[in-house]
Amino acid sequence: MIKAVIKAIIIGLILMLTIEIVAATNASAPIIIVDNLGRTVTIKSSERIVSIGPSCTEILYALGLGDRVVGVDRYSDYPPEVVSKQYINNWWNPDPEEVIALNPDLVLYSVGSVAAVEALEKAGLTVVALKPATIDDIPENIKMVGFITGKSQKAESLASTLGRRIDEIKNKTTNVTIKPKVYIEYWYPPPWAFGPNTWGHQLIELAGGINAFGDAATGWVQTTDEEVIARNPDIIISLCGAMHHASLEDIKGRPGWGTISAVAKRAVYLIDENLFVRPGPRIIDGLETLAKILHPELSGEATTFTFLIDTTTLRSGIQTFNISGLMKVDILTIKSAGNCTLAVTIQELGPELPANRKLVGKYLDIDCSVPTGLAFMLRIYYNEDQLKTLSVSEGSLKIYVWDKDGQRWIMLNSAVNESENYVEATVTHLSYFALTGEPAPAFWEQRIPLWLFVTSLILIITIVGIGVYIAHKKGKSV
Amino acid sequence: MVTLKICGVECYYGSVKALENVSFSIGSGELVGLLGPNGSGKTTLLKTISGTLKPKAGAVYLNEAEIFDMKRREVARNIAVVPQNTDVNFDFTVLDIVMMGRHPHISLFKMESEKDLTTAKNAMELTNTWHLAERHINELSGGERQRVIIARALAQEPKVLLLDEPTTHLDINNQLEIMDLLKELCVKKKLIILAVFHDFNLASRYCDYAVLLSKGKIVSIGGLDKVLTSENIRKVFQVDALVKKHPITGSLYVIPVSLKLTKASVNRKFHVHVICGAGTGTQILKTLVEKGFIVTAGVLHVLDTDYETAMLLDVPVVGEAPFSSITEQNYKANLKMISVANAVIVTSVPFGYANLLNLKAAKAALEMGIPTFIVEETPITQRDFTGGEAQKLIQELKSRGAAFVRGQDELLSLIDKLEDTKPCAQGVLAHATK
Amino acid sequence: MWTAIILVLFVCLLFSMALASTVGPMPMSVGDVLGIIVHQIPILGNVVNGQWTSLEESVVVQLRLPRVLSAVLVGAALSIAGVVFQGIFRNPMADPYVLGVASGAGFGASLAIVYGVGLSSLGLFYAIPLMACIGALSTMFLVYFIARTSFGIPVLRLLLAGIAVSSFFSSMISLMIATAGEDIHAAFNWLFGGFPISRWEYINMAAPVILLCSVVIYAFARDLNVMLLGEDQARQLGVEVETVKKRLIILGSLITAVAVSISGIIGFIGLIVPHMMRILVGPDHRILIPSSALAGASILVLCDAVARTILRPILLPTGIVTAMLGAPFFVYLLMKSGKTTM
Repeated sequence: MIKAVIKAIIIGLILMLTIEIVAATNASAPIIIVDNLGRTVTIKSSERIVSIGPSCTEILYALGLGDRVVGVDRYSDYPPEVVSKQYINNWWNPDPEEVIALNPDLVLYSVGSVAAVEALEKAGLTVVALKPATIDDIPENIKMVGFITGKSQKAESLASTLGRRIDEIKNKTTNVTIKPKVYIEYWYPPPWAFGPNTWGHQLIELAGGINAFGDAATGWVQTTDEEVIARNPDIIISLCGAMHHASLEDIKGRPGWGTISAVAKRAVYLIDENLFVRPGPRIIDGLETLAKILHPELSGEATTFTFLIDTTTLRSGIQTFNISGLMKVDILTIKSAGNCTLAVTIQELGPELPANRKLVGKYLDIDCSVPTGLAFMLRIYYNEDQLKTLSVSEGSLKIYVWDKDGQRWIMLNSAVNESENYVEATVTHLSYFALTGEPAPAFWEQRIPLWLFVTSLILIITIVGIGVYIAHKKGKSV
Repeated sequence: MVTLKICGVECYYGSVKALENVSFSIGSGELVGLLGPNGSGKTTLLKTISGTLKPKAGAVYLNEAEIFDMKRREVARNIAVVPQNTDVNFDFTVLDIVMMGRHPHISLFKMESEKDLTTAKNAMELTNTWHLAERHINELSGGERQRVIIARALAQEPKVLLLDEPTTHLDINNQLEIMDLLKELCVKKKLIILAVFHDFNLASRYCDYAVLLSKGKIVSIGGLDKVLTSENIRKVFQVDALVKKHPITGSLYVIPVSLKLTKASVNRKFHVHVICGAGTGTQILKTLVEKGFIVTAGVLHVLDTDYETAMLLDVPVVGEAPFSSITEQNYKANLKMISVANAVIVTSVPFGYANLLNLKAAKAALEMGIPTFIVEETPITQRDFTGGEAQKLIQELKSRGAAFVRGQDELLSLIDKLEDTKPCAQGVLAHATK
Repeated sequence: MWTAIILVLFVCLLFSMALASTVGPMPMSVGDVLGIIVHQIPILGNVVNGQWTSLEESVVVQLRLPRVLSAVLVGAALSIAGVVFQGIFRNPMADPYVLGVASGAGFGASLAIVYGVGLSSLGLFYAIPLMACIGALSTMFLVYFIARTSFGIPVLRLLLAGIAVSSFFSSMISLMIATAGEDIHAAFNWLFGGFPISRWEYINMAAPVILLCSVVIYAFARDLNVMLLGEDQARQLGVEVETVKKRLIILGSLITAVAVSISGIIGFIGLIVPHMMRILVGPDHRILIPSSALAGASILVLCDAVARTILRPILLPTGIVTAMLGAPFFVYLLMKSGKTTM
């Protein structure tokens, strides 16, 4: 009997040992994958990762691998903390020496040029090339990166979330009958749009729209004003990049553009361009944003919120209502004439804002069954992304209310709470409300007075002219 | 009356001095030739006079006005240039080109007037180019083009005409035609014409006077016979030439004598005296000098070709006045030369009473024991104009042991042998055959 | 004879302008387009009144007309500059960019695009052309300084100085492109030459300069003729060669600088049109200058129309079209004429 027990124990120990050994060897076994270019790559370790390409960087950080990232390219700027690790200058054609200097054991490269991959390989680096073709490839790539770096679990969950979000959009938009025509503007002047074989184009199609320039011959399309006017898009997506952020007001000012359907309907949206061009996790954010714009009826998000104002509660203090979802809004009711129903509708469109004010978030239409005698504090929340996208300074945020009689926007006395990211104002009249901000002038847009510029110009020309004259005098001997 | 004065002009190309202290003046109606080898500064001088190249020192005056103080247009109204190279690479018509000559007369915003067209037409008729008016300039022959450019220069209505080798591309007919035209214009319109010539004969025919340049300096200036001398030509061009006055035209003509002397490799001490004349000795003299012998000759009449050859070869000669008989004095001088010679040669010169004494001198040479060679290319009977006396003397020479040879080669080999075996004069004579 | 040529060319130009105006993505009838254009002429235009929408009028007047007129100005300017430089340098390969004006303009424009120089007070629309102009003129002064000697400006030194300065600025432009951010690449299409941004403001600023320079250049036509014979001969025929050269270089560079500031660097027009016209009308500058201007304008207008439509909706840089069409056409002309050109 004891013999049997001892035997069992020994067998158990041996089994455990075997499993341990197998596990151990597996743990240090090199990982072999096939990357997007069809290359079979053997990765021995991934403790020091160099990421070339913003999409790769974003994938790595999404998987929590930020501390393993030793260097990135110059365009990787999300999340913000990665900016300090920008070492590689040329994303398209990275200099192998710069990469080697970082001593990585793995290089993730978002394919700019295939020749660059070979160059890096020749330099002895382990390169995994990412080049997703469709949006579905992105979750697959995330899984692959997770597998390489031992973060399979996290990768799986992230990939499945993203996959689910993509599928959700696809399901919603398969049956749409009306597909609005979309023009994504990358640059002006002259207008640059997205043609086929670009992410922008894919997003439009997935979101249930038609790309106004889907028939172009190339991906990046430089075109004319007239072309856009002729194609008459229903929706204009104006991408915000470092130097381009054309708002509705800007676009309306262009000759002939006023007649475009999208401009007339005021369906011009500013979106961070990085949500549309980087094939990383954030492109799905872009997709969702686009879907909501193209087919708001499908978003399923509540747009109208109703609250009951109870005078009894008001007697003892403030009655607070919170709205979250499309927008984060708090209403702190101070006083009311009697019990009534407060309806808050969140709208994409509203009356035209004054020239230099940009809309942060969306319009609010607040109405009450008993409008008189009502007073409340309105808190509209914003986030840093919105400010950055619109290039609006925090200090300039103000809540505006629409004066129906005078047909104009009036600025409310608003206080900005920078730590909690909201703007607060006291409201006594019910109408449309909008949180607006003024664009902060970019450094190169700091106004130097025109007179200074012209004067310095004239000065330079005079000096040069005098120089020429003196030279002429000296050389006059013929 | 217009005067062109060049005073002390010094010109540089960069740091290279091209003209040094050039001064002369020309008045209306004078056709002056500018002569000199390539690189002597002729074109530079023309450039300076036309105001294109500013001199570092000195000045050019046109009627007391300094050229370089004048505006370019004013200069162009007075001075016209016909350049060396008349190639035009564009298909302008001939009339266009000639009308360009009116440019200095048409102010900035004006168009060409009737007068301009008439002037151009006149110029073209003078140069016989009016029939080419509508042709393209780059289709013409060199000669036609040159005439067109001359027409353009004339269209400028200048007071001074500068020409750089105006006849280079022309055939002889055209050359004379153009020069006649220029001469006529010079005289009739009182132009000042300064032209560069490479052809001395042409220059001497048409020029009133000439300026000879060498290495940027004036070597000689004045009438043609003063400037065009053998010495000047030798000094400036390093060419030996004979300068003669043509009996019919009265102008000088220059004949380069291509004495391409191969330098004597050996300077021998052997002295040969040559008795010759009428060109019969030229070859011998030349060959002997080339072979390095010490050569003398006599007696030769001054205008005789052999005399001139001897002069050119620097051979000491006893000379005699032309057309006169050899004087006793010269005869003695000849004998003196012979006495120090190692050999004497008598060429197949015709003998008359004027030079009979030369044969007597040969006889005297034999008496002195000096080996004497008689060259008989033609028999003496054909060359005797003394009624038999020369023939008699020749026979005498033969009997006294003079060697008779038929040609120059034979002669030379004998002389060589003679030189080798100098003392034995007799032995050589014994081998000489008649 | 000359008047006939000018008239014919002028009609060609009008025809090209009309043709180019009617071409575009907005469907409009030819009659409407022409009607709108004629209507713009003050006083006389009121005769014509048709049925067109204000959108159509806006498209024609704000979008198409400025493009066409810009092409006319630039085509004329570049052709005239080409004639002038080929005359001064007596070199058939000379074109308006031979003194490095193009690279200087590109450098100025790049400064505006990359570093926002001048952007503040003028905005993107004005900064680029103004900086391009300044760059071009600075280059001209630079080349002049380098090339001059105490005897004047020898032609060879000018050409060499132009090449040197041009290479320098080109490399600077390449440097800026290499180190600039990704966003900038869209703006660099300016360098390829074209009229993507055509505004009346540009035309209003450039037209007077170009017209004035052209008239003054024409005054030197006879001098240019004589200068073809060579500098020495020209002097001997009364031409103040150094003065004329200097003035013509300044005028030629100025007209090129203004043209380049509107349109970017468009090649071939300045090189080929003068040659073409020389074959057709002869070397006399009094006819060559105006006929080159008219021909160059017509050609550029047509090339621009092609650039706009051939790869719709993509806008090709006009410079590419001029190169592709210009070169073979010139070869054809060359083969056809047996006459010696330059």
